[in-house]
Amino acid sequence: MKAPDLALQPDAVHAKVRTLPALPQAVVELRSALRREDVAIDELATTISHDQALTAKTLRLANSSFYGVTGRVSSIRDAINILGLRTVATVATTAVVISSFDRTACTGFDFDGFWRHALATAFCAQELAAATRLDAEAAFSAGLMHDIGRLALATYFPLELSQTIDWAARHDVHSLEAERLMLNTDHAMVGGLIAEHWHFAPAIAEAIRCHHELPAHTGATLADLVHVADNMTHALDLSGLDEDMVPPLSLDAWQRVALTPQQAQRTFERTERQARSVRESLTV
Amino acid sequence: MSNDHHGATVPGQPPAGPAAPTATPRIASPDDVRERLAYLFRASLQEGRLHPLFHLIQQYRLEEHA
Repeated sequence: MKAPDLALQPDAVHAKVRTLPALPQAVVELRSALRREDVAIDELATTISHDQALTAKTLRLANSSFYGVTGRVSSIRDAINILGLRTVATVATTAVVISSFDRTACTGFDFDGFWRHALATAFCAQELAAATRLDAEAAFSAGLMHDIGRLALATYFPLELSQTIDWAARHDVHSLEAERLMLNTDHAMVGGLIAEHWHFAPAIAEAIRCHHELPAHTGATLADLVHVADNMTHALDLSGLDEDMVPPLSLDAWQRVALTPQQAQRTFERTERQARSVRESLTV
Repeated sequence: MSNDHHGATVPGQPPAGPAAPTATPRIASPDDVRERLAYLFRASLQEGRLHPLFHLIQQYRLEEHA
């Protein structure tokens, strides 16, 4: 059966991405501080504390059972002292990214299932980073954001995405295939535009843009980690969606990540445990 | 770009081969585990390809029930 042609104009997609609010200055400063050695922690804590919404969200997440300090983090300064700057930057970014998109009216799009999958992929990518000696925080951010383009499509082009979801379900094909056939774009490409709009590090932007089409490479990349983590979390059934499907796997990426069976088992266990513990704090 | 994806269904075509297993509720027994995994991995199974994760995940899930 021929798929309906609902091709999105590139200019329209770019225009919608440009309407996304910039990341809060406090988050930009936090992420920037990770790349400096002369970080003034007190000054940084004060800057973040001035953003009350961000502070509330960050403290809620920092106090989740996942971080093992439930109830002990009462200020941003506490959070940095107890959890460390890198973890606080990750926590704040997570809180902000999740709150940047409202629940959409896109029929067939499961907002909670989307975030359950995104968080599980973030934890899984972080675990894989430990096994491959790549940057764990970057892996978490890339995992969390890897499908952000799909959320943008659901928010800005709900009728079009809804039809691709319906078509993919009726023909039992992966959603990526339906997006490419019907929209003449896909969520990875749109996600790459958002990563650039938010000035994420180039490796994170590439991981988001290329997590279904991996560039040839000699060693494991962040994009490889996200690709494998995406597969694993679908296979672990962590989105809670009945109709879930494990997407096509790149054997090249799988071989570059090169997990031992023991590392794979440990990754499964830790990903499931982490995803469940932090989910409660985000009500997803 | 590499083009080494495995297990994709043919775009625009209904799934080929035997009827796909149906979606099941949350896992409750070893048989449910096998049925649910067959459903989740249906794209690669229908293509007749062995997904490297399939046996690893199956072993992990079945050990939970051992």
